[in-house]
Order: sequence, then C-alpha cells, then structure tokens
Amino acid sequence: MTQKRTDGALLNVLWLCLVMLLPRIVLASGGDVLTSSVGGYQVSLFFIEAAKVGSVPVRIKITDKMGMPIDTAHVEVNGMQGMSDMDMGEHGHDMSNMVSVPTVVLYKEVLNKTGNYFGIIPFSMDGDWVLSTHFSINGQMFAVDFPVEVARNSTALVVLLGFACLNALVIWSASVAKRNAVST
Amino acid sequence: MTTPISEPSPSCLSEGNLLKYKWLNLFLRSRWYPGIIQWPTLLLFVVIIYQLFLGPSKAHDNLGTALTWVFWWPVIPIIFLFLGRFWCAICPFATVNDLVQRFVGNNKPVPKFLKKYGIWIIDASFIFITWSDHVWGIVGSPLGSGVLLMILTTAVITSGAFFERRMFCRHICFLGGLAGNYAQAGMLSLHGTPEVCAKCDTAACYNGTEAIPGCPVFEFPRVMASSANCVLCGDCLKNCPNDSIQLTLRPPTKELWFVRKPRVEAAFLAAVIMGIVFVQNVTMLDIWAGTLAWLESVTGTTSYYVNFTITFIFAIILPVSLLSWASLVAAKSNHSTFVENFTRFGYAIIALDLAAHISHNLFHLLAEGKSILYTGLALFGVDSHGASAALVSTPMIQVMQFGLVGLGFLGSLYIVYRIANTYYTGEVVWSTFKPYAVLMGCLGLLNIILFTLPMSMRM
Repeated sequence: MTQKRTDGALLNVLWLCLVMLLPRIVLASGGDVLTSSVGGYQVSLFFIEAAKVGSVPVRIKITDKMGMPIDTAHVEVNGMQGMSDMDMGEHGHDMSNMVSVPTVVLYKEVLNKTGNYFGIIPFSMDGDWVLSTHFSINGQMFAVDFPVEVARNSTALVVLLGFACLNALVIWSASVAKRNAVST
Repeated sequence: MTTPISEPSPSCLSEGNLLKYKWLNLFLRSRWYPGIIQWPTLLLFVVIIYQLFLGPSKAHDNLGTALTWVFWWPVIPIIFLFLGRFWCAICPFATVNDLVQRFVGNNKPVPKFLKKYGIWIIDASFIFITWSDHVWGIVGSPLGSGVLLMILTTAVITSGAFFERRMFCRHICFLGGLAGNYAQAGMLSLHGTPEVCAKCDTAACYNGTEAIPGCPVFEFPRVMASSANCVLCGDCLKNCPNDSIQLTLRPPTKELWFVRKPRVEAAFLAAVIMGIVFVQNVTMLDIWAGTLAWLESVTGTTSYYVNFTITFIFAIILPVSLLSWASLVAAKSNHSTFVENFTRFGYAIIALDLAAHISHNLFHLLAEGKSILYTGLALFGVDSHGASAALVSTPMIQVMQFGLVGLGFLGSLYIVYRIANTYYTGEVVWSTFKPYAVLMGCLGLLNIILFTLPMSMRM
C-alpha cells in the first residue's frame, strides 16, 4: 500500500515534468517574404514552404530601382546556423560563435523575365539561421543577409505522436480485455 | 512483512554476504528501493526521448544521443561487470512495464514458444539491431535512435499490458542475452541459502506476497544456479520470510568456471558478440573506407547494404568458425561431441567479450565524454562548440584498452582451464586446453591490432 503511494507521488512528479516540457513542443512558423536592398537592387526572399529542418524550396526575386526584374544575375546562398545575435556590422560576422558549417546552394534556375531564382536549401538544424545571398550583376558583387527562423521538422513530431497513439491503443485494448475478463 | 535481519548467520559472513552491512540490508529492503533510482532514470529517459525527437537534428548537438550512446551504452557493460544485471532493475523499460501492468495488466502466461526459443529471438534481435545501426545509421541519427527506443517502449507496453511479470525483459529484450552472459562474469551474485530454502514451503520469493510481487523475471532463488537472469530488484529479499537471500561478492568470471547447464545459444552469442565488437571497431577505423572500396570492386556494387552485410556476416562467422575449429580439434582428444565442446567452452569467450566491449566503448566514453556536458549546457544557451570533448588523452585510452584486453585474455584462458579441469583429467585437460588457448590468442591479438588503429567518434 505504502509502496503504491510512493510510486503514485513519483508518478505525479513525472507528469508535472512532462507538462513543463510541453510548451517547448511548438513548431516555428515560416513562409514569410523577407526583403532587403543593396546597391540599388531590391532582393526578396520567398519561402515557398515554411522554413523547417530538411530541404526547403525558396525563391529569390531581384529587381532594380525601377522595379524591373533582373534576369542576368548569378546567385548563391550560404546558410549559417546560430547567427541571429551576432555582430553583423561592417566588420563581418563573428566566426567564433558559429555553430554550424555553412551550406552553399547554387541558384541556377531562372524563370522567364520575372527576376526569380529558385533553389532548395538543406537546413540541417532548427533554430536561427542567416541566409547570406551573394549575387553578381555585370561583374559587380553584392551580398544581402536574411535572418531566418527554422522550425523543427514535423516528421519527428508526427512519428512521436504516432507511437503515442499506438501505445494508447495498446493500453486501451488491454484495459478492455481486463474488464471483459473480470465481467465474465 | 519481513523482519530485517540484524545479524546474519556466521555461514553467511564466511561467504561474504554483503547483507551483513546493515545500511545496505535496510536500503535493499526498504520501499524506496529500487524506486528511488528507477523513477529518476525514467525521468531521464523521458528527457532523452524528448531530445531525440524534438531536440537538435544533428547527433553532435543532441543531448539524447550523448546520453544514450556516449554515456549509457559504454557504461552498461561496466555495470554488468561490477553489479550484475542491476541496470535491469532500474531500466526505464522495466518501470514502464510495471506501471502499465499495475493499471491494465491482463497477466496472461508467457507463450510457450518464447520460453523455448526466447534466447534465440534475443540473439537474432541483437544481431539485427547492430546490423541496422550500421545500414540505417541509428546511432548517428537522433530520430533513428528515438524510433528504436519507441519501438522498444511499444513492445514493453504490449508485454506489460497483456502478459505476466516482466516477460519482455526475460524473453525478448535484445540486451537480455548480452546482459545474461556478462552478468555471469560479474562480481555480484544473489542466491538463496540452500539449507534455509530446503525447509521453506512458501516460495514467497517466486510467488510474491500481498505487498510485494514475486520475482519479475521468473527466477526462483532456491534453485537459481546462475546470475544470468537475476536483476537484483530486491523483491525476493523483501518477500523471503526466512532471511535466506544472500548477496555475495565473487571474483570476476567465477560463475563461468563451471556452468551447470551450459546452453548452446549462450555460447553462440558469446562468439557472435566478439564478431560484433570486431565489426564495430572496423567500421570506425580509417581503414574501413579502403576496405569498403575493395569490397565494392569485388562485389561489383556500391550498395552499402550489400557490402556492409558481407562484412558483418564475415565478422560474425570468424569467431564462430574459430570456436568451431577449436571444438573439433579438442573433440579428437577429449572424446566429447563437437556440440558439447562448443557449448561448454564457448562460455570462455565471455571474459574476452566483456573486456573488448568495454575497451571499445571506453574510447567513446573517455574521448567524447564531455559532449554530454556540452549538449546539456546547450539546452541553457551555453555554447561549447570547438571545445575538446575528451576526458583523457588517446594514448592513455589505448593503454587502458590494451590492459583490459590483456585481462580479458587471461580471464578467458583461465576459464578454459577450469572448464577443462572440471570435465577431464590428466593429459586430456591440456590437450583440450591448447586449441582453445590458440582461439583466445587469435581473438585477443585481433582486438589488440584493432585498438592500435585510430578510431572515429560517435558524436
């Protein structure tokens, strides 16, 4: 009896800890349009899907001062994780605080005269990233940084919930079987 | 309710009964044991699951990966050596099993096929999980590790919900075979006092009492001749009305000097574990890339599934073949059958298994140990990237590995000698000893060679 009470108390502590963990199980949102200007060009970053861990398709649109699309640029993107709070001033990035190696993605696909450049960025981790967009137009190089919040991949959550449902089903089946056995 | 013994009998003292220490006796009998260790372990398990599924997706940064593969996995063979299967008493899967059973348990009897072939299922699942780790990268993927743990959790919940006691732990858990083998080499032994048990007509240790359940792993201390399955949960100690239970210290491997009922599946697993240690070592060495390239040219395919599976099978077959060869050679002089020799002397590999297993994992524990701290601190926003994860230097780890393999080799040799001495007399002892000594020499030397080569990290 006392053993059961002890276990019950410990079980309550466990539930409390689980409940305290719950607020962290929230997926970050994505899909925003981020815009920045450099050298008279406007650069817009579109997330076709929410930014999350895994391969995420993005589109970059470059227009000039008049709003005319630029189709002749060569565009590259470097992804750096964990840089949201860093010094991103004129002296460049503080490399000592980087928590992930950069991922380089080349943007080659150009849609017809829209100034759009398409590519897929493989985000390896959730958290704050900075996408450094480098583009060259007529031999001139430009760079724009976009801070991006990358959410966790929901696959893991789905798998976990799947297991939770399966286990709940097993426990429910056992309780029904036990009730039937007692009643018969 | 049992009365704690204040003074153990003189015979218990002469056997080195640890329960003579009052504090230990009271602790093991208290209602807090093993719960006081079980529940924090379960809580840690929840954190690990949370981290593996919802933490950083890179193994390098994941606390769940660090706790599971850099801490728990390397420490577990060390626990088996010093404390027998104590881990199984506090294992979160066992706690989940008991919890589910308490509320919705149907307590159906264990299916007969599991009683008969359970150990082969355990052997097969251990081999499969080790193989799948390599081809699917379970250790290197937090999600993969999480899925593995959740599959085991689901299996244990099913077992606890429908079947009696800890059926999963006794007949299915993939660690059961390895744990059983290592616990036999372990230094802790729980058993009844024969003269006291002989007069007992309650068998409360097995059947349980109103307050405390019977042995969760279906052991009967009265006739228990081996520590292979005892999980040191303390239930028999609490239930015994005659204070018959003893907990004794013994020299490592002592139980293996004479195994009353040797089983071929345990001997087979002993050889298989050696093969698995080989494959674990080889795939973490720099030479693995070259070996793989050579295999690709031989097989004509770049499929990792195919080439790794070939390596895996070869690594497992190697020690099994060597043991078979030694058994055939020995059979010529000792006139026992091949199977008898294989079964009896296969147990001798366990000492070398344990030493090689600990040595391999010692590298991960000591060369990557600080990653547990770093990934833990990262949860609180403390960045430790770039800092060394090593607890001691690589040469120091190598010295420890060589020392351990040396001890394991001597332990295996001594077991061979004791077994040979038990079954045979005169010249036959030495003619039986020789082929097995060559076997242990080959296995020990292979391990030494592998530990001289630089190894890659898990994190």
